[in-house]
Amino acid sequence: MPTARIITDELIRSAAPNPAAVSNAKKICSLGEFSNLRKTADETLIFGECRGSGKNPYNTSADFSEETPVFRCSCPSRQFPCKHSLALMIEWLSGKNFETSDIPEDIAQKREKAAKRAERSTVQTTSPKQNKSAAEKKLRKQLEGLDLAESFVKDMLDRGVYSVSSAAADQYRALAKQLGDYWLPGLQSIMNQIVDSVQYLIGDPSDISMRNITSLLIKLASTVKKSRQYINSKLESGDVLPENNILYEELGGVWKLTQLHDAGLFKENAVLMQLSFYEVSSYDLNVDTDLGYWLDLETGEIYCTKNIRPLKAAKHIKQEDSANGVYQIPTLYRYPGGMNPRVRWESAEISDADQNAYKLIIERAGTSISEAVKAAKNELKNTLSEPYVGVLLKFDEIELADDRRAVLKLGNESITLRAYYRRFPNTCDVLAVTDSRRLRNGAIFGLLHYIPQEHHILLCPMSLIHPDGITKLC
Amino acid sequence: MNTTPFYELHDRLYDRASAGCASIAEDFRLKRAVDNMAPLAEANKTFARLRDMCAKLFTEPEPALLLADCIALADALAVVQGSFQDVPESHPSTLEYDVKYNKQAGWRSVKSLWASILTLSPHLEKLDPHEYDLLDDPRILEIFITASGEKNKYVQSFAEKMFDVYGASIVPLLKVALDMEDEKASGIQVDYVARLAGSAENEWYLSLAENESAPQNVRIKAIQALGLDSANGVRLLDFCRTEKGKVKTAALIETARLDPPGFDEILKKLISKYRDTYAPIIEASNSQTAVGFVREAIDKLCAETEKRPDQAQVNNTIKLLFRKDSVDDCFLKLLDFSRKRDDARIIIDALNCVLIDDLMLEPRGNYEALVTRLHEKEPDAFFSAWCFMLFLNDPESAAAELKNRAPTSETSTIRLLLKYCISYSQAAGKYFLKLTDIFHTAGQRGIPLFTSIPQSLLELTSDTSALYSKNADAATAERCSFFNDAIKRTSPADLDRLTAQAVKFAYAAMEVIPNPHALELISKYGAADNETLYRLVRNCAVKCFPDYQSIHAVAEEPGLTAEQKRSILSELLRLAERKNKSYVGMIKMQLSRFS
Repeated sequence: MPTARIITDELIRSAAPNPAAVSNAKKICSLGEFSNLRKTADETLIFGECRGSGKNPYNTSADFSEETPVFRCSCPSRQFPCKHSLALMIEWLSGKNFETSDIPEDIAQKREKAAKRAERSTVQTTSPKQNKSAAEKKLRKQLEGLDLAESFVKDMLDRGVYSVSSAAADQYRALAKQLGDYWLPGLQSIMNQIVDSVQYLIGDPSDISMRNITSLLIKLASTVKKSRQYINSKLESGDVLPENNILYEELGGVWKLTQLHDAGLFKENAVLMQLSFYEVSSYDLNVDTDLGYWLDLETGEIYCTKNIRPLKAAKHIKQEDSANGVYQIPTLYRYPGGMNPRVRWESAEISDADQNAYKLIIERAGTSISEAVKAAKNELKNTLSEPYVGVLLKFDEIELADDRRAVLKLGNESITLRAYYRRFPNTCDVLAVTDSRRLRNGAIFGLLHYIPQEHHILLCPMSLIHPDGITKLC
Repeated sequence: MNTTPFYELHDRLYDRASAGCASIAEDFRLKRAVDNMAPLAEANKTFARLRDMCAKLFTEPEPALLLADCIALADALAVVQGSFQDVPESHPSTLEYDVKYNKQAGWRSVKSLWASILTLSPHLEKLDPHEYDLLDDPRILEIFITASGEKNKYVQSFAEKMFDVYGASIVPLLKVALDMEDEKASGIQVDYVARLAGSAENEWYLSLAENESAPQNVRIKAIQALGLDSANGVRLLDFCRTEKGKVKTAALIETARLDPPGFDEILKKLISKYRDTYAPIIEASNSQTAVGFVREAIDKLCAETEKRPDQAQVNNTIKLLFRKDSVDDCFLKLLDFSRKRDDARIIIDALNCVLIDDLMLEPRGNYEALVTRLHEKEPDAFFSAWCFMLFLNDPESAAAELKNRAPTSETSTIRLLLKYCISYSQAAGKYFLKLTDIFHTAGQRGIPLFTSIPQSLLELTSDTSALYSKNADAATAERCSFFNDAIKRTSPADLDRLTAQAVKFAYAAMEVIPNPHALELISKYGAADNETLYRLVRNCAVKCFPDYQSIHAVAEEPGLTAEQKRSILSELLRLAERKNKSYVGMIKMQLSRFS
């Protein structure tokens, strides 16, 4: 059973709703607002009284008896956990004296209720029964949507992309909305990108913009084709329920952890460390995604985490932040996908990363650029995949070049480093100001991507890893 | 394998998608590209498949979807063909910093500070404590370097913090960041380099100053930086002779400061056809020619009998005394002159300001002696400058002296001291005496003072003499504004002590002159109970009426309940209906928010 001894700086930071909360919590500690600091004999619960702006001190506790810590506080804050709970953990971490005491009655009662809830949920862990006829009906509806998208592609290519005008943007937007009504979010997203590009075209009718719209149309056509094959095969076989296929999500499917478990898409006792973190905005700026790339320290696989936050629901979804510790994850759920599959987990024990952890990352890094590129090409040529692939490579030296580029050298091989402008900031600019000692003998995590105009595969640098830590570039 | 035909076909397919499928059968370029694929098709099955698919485009009745398939296949093939071997020419980086990189920095914290720099936010002046740990992050360094050319006071304040962390190691980055293509470039990076590296970068300043195609501001800043080293006197003299306009003026000012042989002739020439625009050159020079000119100007001013010199004329003449260390007679003459006028206090303040600026320029040496001599002769008149000098040496006793000697109506010395001294640098762990605008920033960063505000100085901040002075309203507002500003700029260790003084002063002010500035301090820092706060807000609103700010303060006061705000606003409404109907609409609008 976890105890308060699992508290680390990283745990406090990852639990905090925002960086200011940690800052405020530290202020509470420096002002000495806590009194009656107590702990239970088994150290699964720490609690204390914190002076606040109210008349009576707040009763604050951090309970570690469950898989994920439970924070309780009598303050009126809507933030969770509140600054008082974070401050309590900071007090513990700073080595303050917590007197041993019995568990308060109200918390004992809450624990009892939680145990009962957990018991009930264990009984219900098997996936709920799927409604096959509803799933079939949905697939048929999606086929109708695919027809609509296909006729759009056909019409556009018949008339030619040059015929696109700004006046048509509203019409395309309406079509994008319709695709959503047909449960085709993947196609809807591509359509939204087309709308975005068409609007951009108004100001810059250059060949590159035209080519971009054509690429999106081709992506739409390919997705329609693959989706139709997938749906038809499912309808023919009668197996209409979720399966290990990337198209399931493209077609509006939302994986539940139990479904991933049932499909065998999980790993027990995984140990991960984050290589890079960035918040990516969708083309229509309606969705922000907290995108993290993680390394499996045992296998060297690179996963990604996506915390998708539609703007409409933004205030109800906790923003994620970069993570620095070593994450011991009892059950890691893995989505279908290629080189950087999406992963999720319910609970994790976080410990501070030390030199050994960083050395292990470097050990896991690839030693051949050509092999990394070869593996990435298989992924990049698939229209359903992301246009970039995360790879971890060792390097001997990174040198700077003109035009906001750099060159990574590894043995006899070298590759150009350049930012993937459409989605990420110019990380090569950050490389140009980085201490030169960090540009020698380390590992780099980056995104391999293809530039059609130059027929080149480039690497967008995201972070540098050395035995003393990770230098984040974005 | 020569893949050129494949890329040719790839491009043609895209061109066809742009032009539409209507005339695809007549597209001879596409047809030729398909034909040229023959050698590749023989060598590779996938190329053959692409060639065959493309060939069907000319016969297919509805080729649009086939065209899409062809492009999709060509795209996939292009990725497979993509190479990574051709790399540009590169060179190793040589940058090294002596910083401890904070690898724990969270992305959201970095992003927040990053955005503040990008948007030139006022937040850059006073960072949150945790943000000081982010300054050594390369992402922050990069955006700072990008923004370093901004002539913006918040970025300049942030630059100080970055310099405390990186020191001279970021000089190469600042030099590269200088935008030589932008005619309107501020050239402020030259100031930064001058501050960090001083005359060690003399050759660089010289190359910029000599570069006639460089932006004007860059050349001016380079000339100012050359002024840091007296060895540049002769070279600056050349610029005085060869340059024109603002570049020449900058060269004249710097040369006047260094006073190399040969400059006296130029100065005499300037004086012979003196214009007001030459004043900064006279101010910069301590030569006998300049001193002689200033003496004459003062004599002329004091002897004016026909037309009484106006305030601006007097001030401009006083400013000429800057950087002159042997002009006791001029100061005393102007003091006598002031005694015949009703604006004596303003003139005396101006004289003290010149002396204070001299002391800030060179805290020890000739100016110290000048101030001491003047204070011995006229202790009351030159008390501010003398006290300031004392402050630089021993802040504690200066504050005590000020408390004992300054008459209760005398607030200008306190004002001057407070205005300049409370500016804490977190990275340096010290307070710095801020420099005034009259200094160009090359090589200057302020004078280090103390690590913690001395108790006597702290007590002085809540000195209530301002409340009883002639311009009590303005003086009180100014002191409250000082507190608001100083609380943001003080060290974390002094925060509580300074806040306590602010609250003490604010309560005293609310008794004598109720005003929204003092009320704001109490509301923010006073921890007043609801009843007291209600009484203070009501008093202020009623006594200050009609005043928009007080009405606004009632509506926005977070410590009052809606009912209490309604009650005060209703009272103000009755007052407005009786005394000043133009406020009725505004009060009603505020009232409607709480009904």
